[in-house]
Amino acid sequence: MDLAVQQVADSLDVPVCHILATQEEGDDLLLLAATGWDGDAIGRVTLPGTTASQSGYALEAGEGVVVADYAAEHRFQLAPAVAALGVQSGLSVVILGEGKRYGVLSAYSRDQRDFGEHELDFLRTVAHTIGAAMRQQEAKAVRNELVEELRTLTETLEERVEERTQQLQKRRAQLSAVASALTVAEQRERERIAQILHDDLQQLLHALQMRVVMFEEELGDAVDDEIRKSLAELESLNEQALTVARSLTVELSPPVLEGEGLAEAFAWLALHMETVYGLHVEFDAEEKVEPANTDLRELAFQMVRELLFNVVKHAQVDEARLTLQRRDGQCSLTVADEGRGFDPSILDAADPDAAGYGLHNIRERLGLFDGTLSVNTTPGAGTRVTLRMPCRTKNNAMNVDADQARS
Amino acid sequence: MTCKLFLVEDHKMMRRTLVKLLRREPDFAIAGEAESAEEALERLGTRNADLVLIDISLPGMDGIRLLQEIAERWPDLPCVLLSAHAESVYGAQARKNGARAYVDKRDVRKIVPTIRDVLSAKDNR
Repeated sequence: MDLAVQQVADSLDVPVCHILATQEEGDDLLLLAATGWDGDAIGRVTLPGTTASQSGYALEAGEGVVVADYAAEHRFQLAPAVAALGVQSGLSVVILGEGKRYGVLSAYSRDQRDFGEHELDFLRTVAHTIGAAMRQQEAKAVRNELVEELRTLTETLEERVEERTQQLQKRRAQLSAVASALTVAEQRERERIAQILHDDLQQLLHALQMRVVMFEEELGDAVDDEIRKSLAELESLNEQALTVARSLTVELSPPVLEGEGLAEAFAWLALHMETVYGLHVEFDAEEKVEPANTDLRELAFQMVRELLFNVVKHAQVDEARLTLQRRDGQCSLTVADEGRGFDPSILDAADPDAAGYGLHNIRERLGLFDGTLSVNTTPGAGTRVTLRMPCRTKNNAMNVDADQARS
Repeated sequence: MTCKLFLVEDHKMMRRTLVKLLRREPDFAIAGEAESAEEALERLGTRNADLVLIDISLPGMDGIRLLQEIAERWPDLPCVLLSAHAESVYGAQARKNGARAYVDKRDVRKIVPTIRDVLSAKDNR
């Protein structure tokens, strides 16, 4: 801009030339660039718009203004700051950029001079160039502003995503901890109830049974058959009560789950399923494959038991296979049968457990311990469910031992 | 000859019933009773028992640990383990730790004959 006003002044051979810019608010025009003015005035001095200045008038008129002698001018007043420069003649043109008025370009002579159409055209050409430049500058500023805004938004978004990711990870860790605590709590509660059943109810039933037997023996042959029959029935009822209490105790907390390895617990479970439910379970285990910790071991045991119950309830067969292996550094547990099978698409249904298999529940719980469940089944062609979970390694073996020492 | 039996059982009603069952045998006498393994170890030193009848589930030190302790302190003192679990669960473990016999509490009629078998095996040594 400075260069432009200097060149205009040189070309027209005038001492004063300036650009006044419109402002966002108000009618005043700001001195943007000038020659013939005190340097401090640039960027500070404002001239009144409308008819209180030549530039204001030119802006309102929207056309070039030429004045040969300000003493004879009546359309507008010469702004005092311009008059103070000692000018006598001058001309102004509006600076336009794509229809927007950016300001006014003016040139003044201290001598009386008749500026002609030629000078006015020259000034218009320069104003046109300045207008295009101002328009471009404005667009650039807008673009920069938008780019900056976009950059800030992107940064904020990235921060938010990072924040949410961290929150999610934290939530997941919390959820996992809660799941783990719930599994432990569930197991402890089972153990507690089992202990009450065993330590109290079962002992009372055993004592009762002993008393009945002793009573029977003490009576000897001195009683008739009716009483003997009643005593035998009493003994039998007590026997049944004991069977229920014992089986409930064992179901709640298999004694073998405390301390022994998972393979031993499954060997017991296989025997238990055969004895109690008539399901023959062929069990095959690789040596020393243990889940990462005791919580997971208890969970694995409960889940396999649920899967074997599924075979009893749904498969309509009396045989199943259970395998415990190490696969890709994980514990892999498979329960397979050659029974009825089912349509695997029910696992993706809105309420996958509506069918009563409980597999969705197992998958969810296992997921919280970084485990997975896969199901391979077809109606009429058997079911094969595989559970994968973190395995005990040398690194976490110490924790397991510590867990066991605590329990 | 009277056989002196020592009984370790934490459940009071069960203990009383066992005492009653054993006292029916004219040649059996109760040398002492304890509610816990710790109490049993304290008392066994002063009682001259011929056989110890131990319940596997005891508060604190359990029946299996008590078997180990007795085997260490009085290796010739025979022990019979009584349990509310089937023999398949703890039988092998009990024998490995020194029990001469394992009796499931629901086999009431086997308790006295088992004690007699163990005692006569001891006498025949």
